[in-house]
Amino acid sequence: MKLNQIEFQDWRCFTGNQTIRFATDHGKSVTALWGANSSGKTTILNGILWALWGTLTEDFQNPESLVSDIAILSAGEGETLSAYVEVKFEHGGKRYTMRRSCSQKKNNSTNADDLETHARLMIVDALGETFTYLNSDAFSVIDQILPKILATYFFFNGEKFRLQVQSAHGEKTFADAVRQVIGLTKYERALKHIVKAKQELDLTISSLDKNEERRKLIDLKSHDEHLQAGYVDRINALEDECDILKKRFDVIAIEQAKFHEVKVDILARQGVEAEIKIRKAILANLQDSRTGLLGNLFALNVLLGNEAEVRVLAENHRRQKHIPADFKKSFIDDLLSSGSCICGCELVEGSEQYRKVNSRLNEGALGGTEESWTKLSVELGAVTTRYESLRGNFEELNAKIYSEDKAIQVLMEKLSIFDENILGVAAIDEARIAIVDLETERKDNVARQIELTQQKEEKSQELSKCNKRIDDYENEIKKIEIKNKEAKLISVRRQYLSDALSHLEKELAELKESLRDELEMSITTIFRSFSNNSYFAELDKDFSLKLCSKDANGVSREAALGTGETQLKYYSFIAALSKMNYESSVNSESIHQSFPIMVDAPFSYLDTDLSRRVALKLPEMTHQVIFLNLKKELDTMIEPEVAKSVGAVSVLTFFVNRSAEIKVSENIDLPQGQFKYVIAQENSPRYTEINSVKV
Amino acid sequence: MTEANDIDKNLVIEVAQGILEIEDQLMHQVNPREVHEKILKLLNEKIK
Repeated sequence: MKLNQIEFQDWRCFTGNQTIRFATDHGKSVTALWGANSSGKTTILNGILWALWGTLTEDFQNPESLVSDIAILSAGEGETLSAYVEVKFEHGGKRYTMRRSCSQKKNNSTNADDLETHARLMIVDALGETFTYLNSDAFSVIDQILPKILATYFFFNGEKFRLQVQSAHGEKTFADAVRQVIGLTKYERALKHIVKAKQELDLTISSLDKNEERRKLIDLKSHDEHLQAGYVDRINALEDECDILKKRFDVIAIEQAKFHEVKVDILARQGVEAEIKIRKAILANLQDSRTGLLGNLFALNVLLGNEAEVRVLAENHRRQKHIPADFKKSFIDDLLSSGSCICGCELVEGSEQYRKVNSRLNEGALGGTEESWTKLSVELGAVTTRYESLRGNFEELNAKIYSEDKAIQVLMEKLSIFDENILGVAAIDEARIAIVDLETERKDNVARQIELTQQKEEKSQELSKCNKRIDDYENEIKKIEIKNKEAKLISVRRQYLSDALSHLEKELAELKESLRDELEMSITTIFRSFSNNSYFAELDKDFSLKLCSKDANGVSREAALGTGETQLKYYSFIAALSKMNYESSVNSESIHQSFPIMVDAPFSYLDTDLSRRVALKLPEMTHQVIFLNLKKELDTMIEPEVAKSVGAVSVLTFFVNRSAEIKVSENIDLPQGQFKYVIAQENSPRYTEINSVKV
Repeated sequence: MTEANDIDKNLVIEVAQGILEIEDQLMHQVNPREVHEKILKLLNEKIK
């Protein structure tokens, strides 16, 4: 920052429009402003601070009254008065014009209402482009060039500076300012902000990281998948069992159908058996009838003498083919003696049959008379008829017997077919049991199938719920995984931030170390160039400065400084800072920036020798120095070595009421000539005129 | 995506420099929130 000029318009003691141009040339960079006490030197310092940073020094009196007293006096009541300070400076290749104005309304003959202020900053860049900022924006831009906290260390009152530094927190504030001007505060702020940003990232990560929840969900899902597999297995088993039952059911149906046929066969067989029984009874009756009839036929045949018939009959029953006529008697005898008739009945002596056969014998039928044969012939005639009839019956009976016999035979064949089908009586019983068992099994099967279907339904419902839960878990897990991915990315960012923190900590430590060494050396050199005492500078970790000396044992101890040395201590510090910034800004476009040093009453506590040294050395340490001096400091400033670096001189001509303490007008003798210093006049308010002196 | 154990040292330095630039820009920002937001934005831009 290089100040070009400051312009006042009715601001405090500078009535009307007045301008101070500052020295800017290299080697002629000192501006000397000469003014009596109360002439406005501190007002110039405050004009800079007020216009550029909106602040005033603590000892600045009546800060609410910024408009010139004379302007207020000359204005009419109710009139609005305005004043401004305009500062022009260059910085970084740009030209800045900051005008801060204030206005007050006069409310009676001497007073004005509260101030209203307005700031306007115009910047013209290297290409001629113009930018304008108003009020807080304007201050914000200035603050970025030289922060307010530092401005009061580069634009300061030499008399009050020690008090300013030593006030409450002054040392700390000064050390803070030092760290800021050498670029450490930026690192410290960065470290602090990185820690906070890391904490924010940690919070974000912890809010996103749901690994625990994810693990729980995965456990739940796994549990449900296990259940799911169980349900599926159970359902499959139930289905298999159902299939087996269905197959068995079909088998049972086939078996039942088969046994139903058997059952029909059994019933049919029972019918056939009954019929056989009936038929056998009929057959027995028929056979009985035939036996009786055969007896009758035999008897009749005997009676008829039908030997042939007898023989036939005898052959039939006795298997004799021929009974000769003369054999009749012997035949009957034989019958009687044999005890068996040709009809097959027993001829037991004394029985009716025996008696008949014997009577026939006794009657002589077989060997009797003709008469008897005639009689017999007649009888035979009847008997023949009877015989024929019986024979017809016999034949018919035989046919019936044959027929019945045949029918029974057919039925028996049927029975054998049935028996083959139903495998006999045992198989029938077995079949009956099997039919019952199958029916029972069928009913059980149906019941079991219903039960299984219910179970299957229940398991299917449980499976469905389980599947839904698994889907829900999966969706939830997916959401968590998306968040986890985000958390992972933020973790990576956090790691970078953490590493950047370490990097900056290391860089800061190195920077602090090197800057501390550099500053300590520079302060020591500068202090020693000012003072005859060979103290050396020590900066603690916060960059608070101590001037030290070594005792006889070589132990470093803080030096007890007098008032002048204390002032030199801070000059040395400011000068070292300026020097550091000046050199680095000359050498490169460094982060450090060079600033002017404006000192009001710079030599208050310094003797002539020290003052001369400060005046001589300070310009070597920065690109622009502005001294606001009293006449008594003239001796210092006219030293040829000092005078050769002065590029601009102004005298503040102070007009003061003669009735006040100053009654005599004074002049100041500068190398450039004699100039009016104080002008005492009758009944006039105080004001100052700035007179530029040609160098 | 960059893994946490695969940190690019040059990128770390870029991030550190970026943060210092933010501090330069927002040197007088009273509300640290704005600085944090800028730092996080820088990280978002640099590490994707």
